[in-house]
Amino acid sequence: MMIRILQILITGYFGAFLLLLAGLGVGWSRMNLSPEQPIAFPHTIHVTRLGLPCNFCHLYVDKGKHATVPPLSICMSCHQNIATDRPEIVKLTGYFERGEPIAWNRIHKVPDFVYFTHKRHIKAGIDCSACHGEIGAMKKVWRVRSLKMGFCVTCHEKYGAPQDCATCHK
Amino acid sequence: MTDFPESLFHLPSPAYLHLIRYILLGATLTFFAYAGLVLGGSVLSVSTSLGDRNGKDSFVRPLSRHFMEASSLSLLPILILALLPLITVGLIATSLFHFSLNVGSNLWPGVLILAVSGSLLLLLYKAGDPSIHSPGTVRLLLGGGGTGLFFLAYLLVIVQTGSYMNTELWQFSDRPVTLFLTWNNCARIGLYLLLSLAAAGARLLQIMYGKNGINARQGNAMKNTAKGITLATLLLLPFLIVADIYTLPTAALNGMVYLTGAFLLLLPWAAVIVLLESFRNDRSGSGTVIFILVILTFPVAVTLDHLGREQATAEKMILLQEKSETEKTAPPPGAETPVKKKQDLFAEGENVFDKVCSACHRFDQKLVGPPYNLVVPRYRGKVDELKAFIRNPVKLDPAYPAMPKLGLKEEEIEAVAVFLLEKTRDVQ
Ligand code: HEC
Ligand code: HEC
Ligand code: HEC
Ligand code: HEC
Ligand code: HEC
Ligand code: HEC
Repeated sequence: MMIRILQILITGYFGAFLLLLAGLGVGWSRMNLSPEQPIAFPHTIHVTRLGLPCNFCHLYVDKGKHATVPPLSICMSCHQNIATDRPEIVKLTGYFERGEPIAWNRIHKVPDFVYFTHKRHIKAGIDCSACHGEIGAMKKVWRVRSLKMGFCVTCHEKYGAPQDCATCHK
Repeated sequence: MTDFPESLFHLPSPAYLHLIRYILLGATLTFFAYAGLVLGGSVLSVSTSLGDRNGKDSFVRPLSRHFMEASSLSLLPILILALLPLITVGLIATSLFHFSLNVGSNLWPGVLILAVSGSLLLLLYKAGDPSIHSPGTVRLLLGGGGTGLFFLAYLLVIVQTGSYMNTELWQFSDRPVTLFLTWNNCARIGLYLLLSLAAAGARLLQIMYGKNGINARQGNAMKNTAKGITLATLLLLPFLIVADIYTLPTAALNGMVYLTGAFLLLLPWAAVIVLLESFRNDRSGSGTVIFILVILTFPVAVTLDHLGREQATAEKMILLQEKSETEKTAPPPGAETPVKKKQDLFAEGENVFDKVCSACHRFDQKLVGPPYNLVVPRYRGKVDELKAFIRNPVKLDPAYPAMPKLGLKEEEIEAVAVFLLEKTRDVQ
């Protein structure tokens, strides 16, 4: 009898951890590290095969706070003529002809109370992959860094970059 | 990172690369389980004999000896199941991860030295019979030293394999403390050590069930000791499993990792249930069942590491594969490169054009960039200027956007320049 009760207790004990793990899993999938995009844009082709540099499309990455996702005119400078029969490019042309900007889903985002700027980091010679992983090998972009405070501060510590609160919390 | 070590190791070909990842998996599968058992048994054996310096106690002395028996340490298995995998992985992973992926800190040589010397001392410790040969202190020194060295080796393998999945720290590979001292590694160390103790406890239990000769009271006491150790460690295990998964780097997460984590919880649960059952109904089979359940937990934990590692390095692997493919087509370094014939250059140039330039250029038509028939004839007889432009384009015509820098190799620039001039030779 005693043993039976212990066994049930133990099952509850392990079950609680299983639930905890399931909770972590749900939290992870809710983070949605790789949201669906209106057009399946492959960085693999454009970066690794064509060798386009990042700032060919992300125009302001070394100039401003935001890297910005490219305007349609950049895509169309090539896709007016290239691969025009592919379904994804037909969609792209549709947006362009309607004059409608594409609503890309944001993948990397820090909360509003955090100040982040690309320019200083790029000027300091930090590679995109430090914070974004190897984008050039991703068919679909996904977020590979937590972008939590610990992530930023660890690196600032190593590079001797400013660490006082006001640097990132204005 | 200098070029020097990189030139010593050739990049693995894609097929080889594939193989290597599974060699690492296979080696860690056998290493963690067997070395864990050895480690757990030795730790328990040495720590029990600490309480009995002169080796006289009629309970502790055989207990210590039985723990050593439970560790299953002997020459052939330790060579095949622990040291051989280490050597293989050490050699291969050194060339793959250290030199190709620029993970600077490399613990494998240290691991090997520690593991070999540790297992030697432990073998001596096990061989010495305390009652006849060596006095207690010498034996303790052998056992303590061996356990310590082996323990360190085990620890280093855990943190080294952990660093492979923490891609975001690779940029700090010249700072071992940052690279290795992570919460995830702490959790994994705890997990594997607890598992080691649990495995040794379960193995002792299995051995005790098989022994009939010894007096019943002592046998029971030992069985209960074994059950207590196994139970306590298995009950602590869930904390570390959840901590391990919670502290995994973002890049290492995927659905399979969570599923494997769940499975990792189920095995110790089953072992505990069987163990409790044995208090009520003491059948000799339960020892074996418990031991199998505990020892099977190791491969599941290793699979979890493997899945995280595969996920975190997926993109690096793709890039590496491409790099090795382009390297394979390039002539081997040091081989004589005869002056290429013009036809070869032309064919190569056409290839570059198709792959790269054709995205923006045609010969007779404006695309992103100007038609070649218009602009290339200006470079006749000035091939170096053309090459300089392709190598490092400058903004020229306000009617066009700037041409991006393309990052071609020098041979490709040479070839495509020859191709363009040749193709536009007859244009007016
Ligand atoms: C041909 C144009 C182009 C080039 C070149 C390019 N990108 Fe992008 N990038 C895009 C587009 C379009 C998106 C939005 C769609 C998406 O997220 O897949 C994007 C999205 C991204 C995002 C995710 C943005 C977010 O929402 O958080 C990152 C990060 C990124 N790019 C990094 C890079 C890096 C690093 C490089 C250079 C290695 C690069 N890109 C080169 C077009 C480009
Ligand atoms: C430098 C020229 C260039 C620019 C700029 C460019 N692309 Fe492309 N894109 C290409 C080439 C070349 C291909 C490969 C077509 C092929 O597979 O033959 C391609 C392929 C694609 C594909 C895959 C088509 C398929 O289904 O196979 C998509 C989607 C795409 N581009 C979207 C975009 C978007 C969106 C942008 C703007 C952010 C953009 N491209 C900017 C040259 C360009
Ligand atoms: C120091 C870390 C870091 C580096 C280095 C970095 N990024 Fe980012 N990136 C971020 C963070 C953080 C965000 C989210 C910013 C936000 O929410 O405003 C982001 C967002 C983006 C976005 C989408 C949102 C936006 O800002 O428009 C793009 C595109 C992007 N990065 C491209 C790049 C490219 C290309 C490079 C390399 C030239 C690069 N990043 C280098 C940290 C970095
Ligand atoms: C890979 C390393 C790295 C990471 C990750 C990183 N930073 Fe930085 N950051 C730097 C370096 C280096 C500098 C100093 C640049 C300089 O000296 O101009 C810097 C500078 C800054 C500055 C400007 C400081 C000033 O003096 O104005 C801000 C703001 C900043 N980082 C915010 C962030 C935030 C927010 C994050 C996390 C999302 C982050 N950084 C992640 C390396 C990093
Ligand atoms: C290098 C940049 C950086 C510095 C320096 C920094 N923070 Fe943050 N902090 C962040 C980022 C990024 C987040 C957003 C984390 C997230 O997404 O939840 C954050 C979030 C926070 C939060 C919200 C709670 C949380 O963790 O989500 C608090 C509170 C906070 N920071 C306090 C501080 C204090 C106090 C200091 C000074 C000791 C400081 N921070 C310095 C980048 C920084
Ligand atoms: C992303 C689009 C793009 C790609 C890819 C590209 N070009 Fe261009 N190219 C341009 C543009 C735009 C111009 C016009 C630049 C200007 O006038 O400032 C140009 C101009 C040129 C010119 C004329 C320079 C002059 O003196 O007017 C040559 C030659 C040329 N490109 C060769 C190449 C070669 C060779 C390749 C392939 C290795 C290539 N381009 C790939 C966009 C591209």
